[in-house]
Amino acid sequence: MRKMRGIKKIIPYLGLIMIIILFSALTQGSLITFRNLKLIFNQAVVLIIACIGVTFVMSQGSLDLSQGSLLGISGAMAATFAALNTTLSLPMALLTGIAVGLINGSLLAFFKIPSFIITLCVLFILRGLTVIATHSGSIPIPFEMLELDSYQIKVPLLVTIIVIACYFFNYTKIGKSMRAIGSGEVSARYSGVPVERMKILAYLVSGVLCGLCGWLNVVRTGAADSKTGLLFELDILTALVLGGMPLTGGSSAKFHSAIIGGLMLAILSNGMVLVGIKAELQQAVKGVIFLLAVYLSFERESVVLIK
Amino acid sequence: MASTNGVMLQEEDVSLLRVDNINKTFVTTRALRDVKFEVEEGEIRGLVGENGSGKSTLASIISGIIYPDNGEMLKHGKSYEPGSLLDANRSKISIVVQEMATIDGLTVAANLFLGEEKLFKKFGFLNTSGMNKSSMKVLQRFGIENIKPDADISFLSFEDRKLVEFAKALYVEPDLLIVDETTAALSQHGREILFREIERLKSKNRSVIFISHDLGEVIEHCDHITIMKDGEIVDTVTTGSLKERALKELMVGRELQQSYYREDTEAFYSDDVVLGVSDLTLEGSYYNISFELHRGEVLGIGGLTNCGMHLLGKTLFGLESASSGTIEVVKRKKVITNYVEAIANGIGYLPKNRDQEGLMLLSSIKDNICLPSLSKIQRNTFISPRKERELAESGTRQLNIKMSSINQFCLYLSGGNKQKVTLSKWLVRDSDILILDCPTRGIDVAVKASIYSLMQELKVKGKSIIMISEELQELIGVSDRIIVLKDGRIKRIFSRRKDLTEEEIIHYMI
Ligand SMILES: Nc1ncnc2c1ncn2[C@@H]1O[C@H](COP(=O)(O)OP(=O)(O)OP(=O)(O)O)[C@@H](O)[C@H]1O
Ligand SMILES: [Mg+2]
Repeated sequence: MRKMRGIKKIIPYLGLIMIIILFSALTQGSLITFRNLKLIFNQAVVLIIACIGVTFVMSQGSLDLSQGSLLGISGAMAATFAALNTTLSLPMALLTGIAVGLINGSLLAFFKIPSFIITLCVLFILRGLTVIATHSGSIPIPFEMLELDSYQIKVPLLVTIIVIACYFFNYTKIGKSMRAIGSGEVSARYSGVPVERMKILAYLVSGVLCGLCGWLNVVRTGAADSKTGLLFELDILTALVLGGMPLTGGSSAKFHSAIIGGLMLAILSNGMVLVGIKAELQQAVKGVIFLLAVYLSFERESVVLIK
Repeated sequence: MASTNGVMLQEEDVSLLRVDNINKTFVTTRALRDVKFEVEEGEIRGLVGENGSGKSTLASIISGIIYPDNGEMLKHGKSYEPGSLLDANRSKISIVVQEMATIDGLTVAANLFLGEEKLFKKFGFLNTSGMNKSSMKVLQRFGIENIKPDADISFLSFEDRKLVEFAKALYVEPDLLIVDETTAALSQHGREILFREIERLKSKNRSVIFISHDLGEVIEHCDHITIMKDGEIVDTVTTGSLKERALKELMVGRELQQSYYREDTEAFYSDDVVLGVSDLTLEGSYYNISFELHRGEVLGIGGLTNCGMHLLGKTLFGLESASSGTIEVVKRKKVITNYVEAIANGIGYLPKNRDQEGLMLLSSIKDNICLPSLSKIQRNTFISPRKERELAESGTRQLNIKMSSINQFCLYLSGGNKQKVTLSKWLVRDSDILILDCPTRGIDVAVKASIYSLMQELKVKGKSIIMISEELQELIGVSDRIIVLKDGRIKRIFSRRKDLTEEEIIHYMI
């Protein structure tokens, strides 16, 4: 049984290597050309940052499904305010994320409704707001902002976020308390973990990082669209599960899941495009992979349901 | 077809259950070694041993919950290989396990008939009212009056949940009933029901295996007692005139020192008040509770299980909010309103229900022990893994926790060792005020003695302890003062003295 655990630990890494080898072979090496790697990086940045946020939520045994629309609405806010003054765009995107995080977290902490229902509702609401904000079309951003889409900004940003988040997740009271909630909410409370506060904090982190992703996305594509971020929440979930994150959270939630998973999904998506799989079919393939990942990682010992 | 030989075998000397050379290893722990064990018809067999000696493992194997690595079992001389608990039930062997076995979110009736729902199925639909009626009958047959079959089991007290499990095990009409460390969760009333039913089984020539750390109880009710140590059976003795002390020594394998409880016979504590409780009321549970806890005092709180003392304990730790009244940490002039404040002001709380409230079963021993102390070992938000390890190691060493490593999941510990982990959490935090609700539940005699002496050490160091307990001996043995609650009100406060007896206290309890 201990051996099984050991193997489980390296499954995500094996998966990553396998995906790289598989698609390198299928594309006769064009996956790993420098140009394509840059493309993958750009996709992975947003995915990894969002995954890191959700890692905090999932470590508590909860889900955050509002991310897709949050990406849309924070992008829309960024673009709308950029028209007034370009310096306003980033703060507005972050504020949107914070607000949504606070709402998600408070609803969960104080109304005791399962998190996937709350965040699913929020997903719908925010999508509606995104459509309204973009007038069912798209809002372009000022031309000079496109310069911000540079590696000089993104690489340090990603590294900083990874380092800080990893520190908080693994080496502080916050991260440990959150995992304790995932392992057993009642016992965590009885050991002095401020459960409500931690739940709100987790969604706050998830929200603000997704707000940042919304901004990064607008800067990259040059416009906020009413469809921006559709199904992004499922990409995040798939990525995390592929990275080995247990749906039940708790002590077996690991930080590296966000990075490995984000990379895996970015490569997978990119590879499928290169191989020439139709967009519609890509979704189906992702769905199957998601199911497979859940099946492989599901801890049958823990019969705890997802809260 | 039956040869004369076979007939011969079926006569006299075939025991009800025979366990032959059973071994069981969990990863690295050898839980059972070549266990040979026999139970005759119509006997009540005690099974005792230190924490982690393999009692529950043996019980689980006999009742089909887990499988042995090798060896064989015979029931009435025929091969017996249960594949599951239901399988064992069909062979008329049932068990009340040490842990909580009822399922949250189901009704009492649904729990009672779990796995037997087909009895109440009509055209594919479950006849709920029929099931409730039958449950009512079953519960009443065993003298359990206060439990409603259609109630959600998660709202029942720990004791009542255990009684439902007990009824479930009896409903099987077992030839052999195993009761694993259940009495520790029961109050006087529950115990009476339990022993009455056990005697009734015996009178019908059925048998019982009774596992408990309360050796007095074991001696009183059992015909023979089997002693286990480190996964082996050491001895089986006839109860007869066996004394508790002799049994203890058989169990621990060495001579025990004379004193078990503290030796002084007078209350002894400082005049400084550390915790002031005034006029605390929680409607429907307890009323107008006022007392002062002093530095270096062990304050016992006793009463019947539903007298409000368990909820009072939770309130003192800020987990329940009282309808009125205040709890004040005097030194800091701080009124406690929630558990975060309580911990920050040096209060620790050991809950009675360890699997649900005391432990994260799917986390390591280390994580469990360190959780309340994280703010103590952090330096500018940083928690060093080395410090965590050291803290956990000091805790496990202090209570001699039997484990394979501090990274082992608590799920895989024996019951008593789980209890030690919950206690250790608060010991390593070095709290000023400890609220302990049934601290020695399921703990073996040797460790019990060391916990009592530990409490004494804490007391000398100027810490204060509130000990809520259902065991009068324990209350008398270690407390400076004992508050007796009845129906939620303080009936009497006893001070420690030499000739304080259980009878005197019981008089105010009921
Ligand atoms: N599922 C498991 N996985 C790993 N180890 C286990 C498991 N169950 C029990 N053990 C180990 O086997 C040993 C015997 O445990 P068991 O529960 O039988 O003890 P016990 O005599 O019932 O103790 P207690 O009095 O504390 O209840 C212990 O060391 C325990 O840690
Ligand atoms: Mg046991």
